[in-house]
Amino acid sequence: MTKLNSHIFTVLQKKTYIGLFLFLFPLLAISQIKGTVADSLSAPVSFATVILKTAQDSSIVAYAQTSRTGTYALLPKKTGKHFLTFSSLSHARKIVDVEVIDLNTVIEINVQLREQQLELDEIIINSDLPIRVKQDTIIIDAKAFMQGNEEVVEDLLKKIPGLTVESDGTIKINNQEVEKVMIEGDDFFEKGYKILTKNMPAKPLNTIEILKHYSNNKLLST
Amino acid sequence: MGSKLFYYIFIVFLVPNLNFSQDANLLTVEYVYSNDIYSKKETLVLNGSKAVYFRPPFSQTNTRNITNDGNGEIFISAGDIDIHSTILFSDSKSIRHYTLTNDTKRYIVEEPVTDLKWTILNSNKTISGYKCKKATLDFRGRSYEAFFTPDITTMYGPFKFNGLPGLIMEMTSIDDKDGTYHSWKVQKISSSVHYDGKILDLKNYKGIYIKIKDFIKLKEDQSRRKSEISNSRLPQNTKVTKVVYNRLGIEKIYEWETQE
Repeated sequence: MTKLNSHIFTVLQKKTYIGLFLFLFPLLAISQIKGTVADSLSAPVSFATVILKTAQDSSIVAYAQTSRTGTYALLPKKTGKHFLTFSSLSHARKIVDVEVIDLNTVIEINVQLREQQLELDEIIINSDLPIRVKQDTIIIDAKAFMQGNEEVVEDLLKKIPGLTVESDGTIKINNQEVEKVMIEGDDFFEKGYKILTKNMPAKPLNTIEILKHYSNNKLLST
Repeated sequence: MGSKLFYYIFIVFLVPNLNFSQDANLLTVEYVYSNDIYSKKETLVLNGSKAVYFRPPFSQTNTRNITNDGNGEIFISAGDIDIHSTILFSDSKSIRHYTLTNDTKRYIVEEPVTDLKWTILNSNKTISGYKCKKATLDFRGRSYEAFFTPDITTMYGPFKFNGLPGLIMEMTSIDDKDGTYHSWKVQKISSSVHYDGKILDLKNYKGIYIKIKDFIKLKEDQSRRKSEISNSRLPQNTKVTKVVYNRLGIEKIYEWETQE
């Protein structure tokens, strides 16, 4: 009985294989651009970004990240001239031209990337930063730090990184006491700013300016 | 036989280290997150294979709005906003957020990476010298517009917005019909390593693991309990006819909720 069963099973297996092959055959011929990305030591580069763009207007057609073994696969949508950019945080970018002749062939493009130290020291993007430094003055965008539970200006100042507010209200930046605190550009009390910061409500504020050091030249001008 | 064994052991130790150098470069990106109520700095720290996103807490006590429609019905709209700090851990397989709930328990909420369906348009914009391309996305009940730059290689972005072939410089919700909006704008990008690589590793954080579907249900049950308690304190002859929960946060609808 078992012999008969195994015979049927083998026949079925063969038919299944043929059927699968016929079924998959057209799928084997889809267009694809694939390959492996490696570094200068031929070790795979994983998590590199591969982008396929049209040569005409650099529009992005497809993109992928390389796998743990450095492999990628992309599906082009049109024929024509394209280019591939290979980039990674730790390697120099590489650009390779690709011509997609028809949408039935698989194009294999393997690249080797050179290691490169990431060089993005500190790029400040917007001019409307929550904290800006203009010479001696620190301009603070109050709204960026407000959490909503601040009553007076002092409560808000305590939340600003780099600023310390002592129990008597003395404001220090990097352990240096500040000379002036100006609210919305108006300097009310000069060194008596503590009255201001301890009493003025924080809610309606937009900007607070803190003068780091007072020029001694002012005293000399008398 | 001995030398063959040695050879195999050598390979076993060598192979896992091959990717180490690629994880060494850390990029720190500071975003300013704004919505219709407040503005806050959020930070993204990433390397080639994973990213961490820090969202600070926010709390605000608002007055409750009570309107009487004259027919004996009173509408009370909720007041307080209490958003806990969250740290989001993203990698190629999942996003996990380390967060607190109202009962101050720490949870690590897990969700599988759902490939976000970005549409990259052929529209360009230069932001601080970086050539950016525009992309749009519908995510959990909101539509967004993003500008990303392929010149900074990463698939990670603010919050859960991963999957674009470059760093997102600006991300804004558009078409918000409920009056709320959410936006992220890059302020600073730096490759100097301020952080110890350990912050990228979730193993250094302790919390209760929970799937996102269960977590959302847990939070809603907690809110319901809270309102039940306050409803029980209503005076005699009053009855609560309807309680409506509107999600005003970033995620309004979840995938499993639309699959009814």
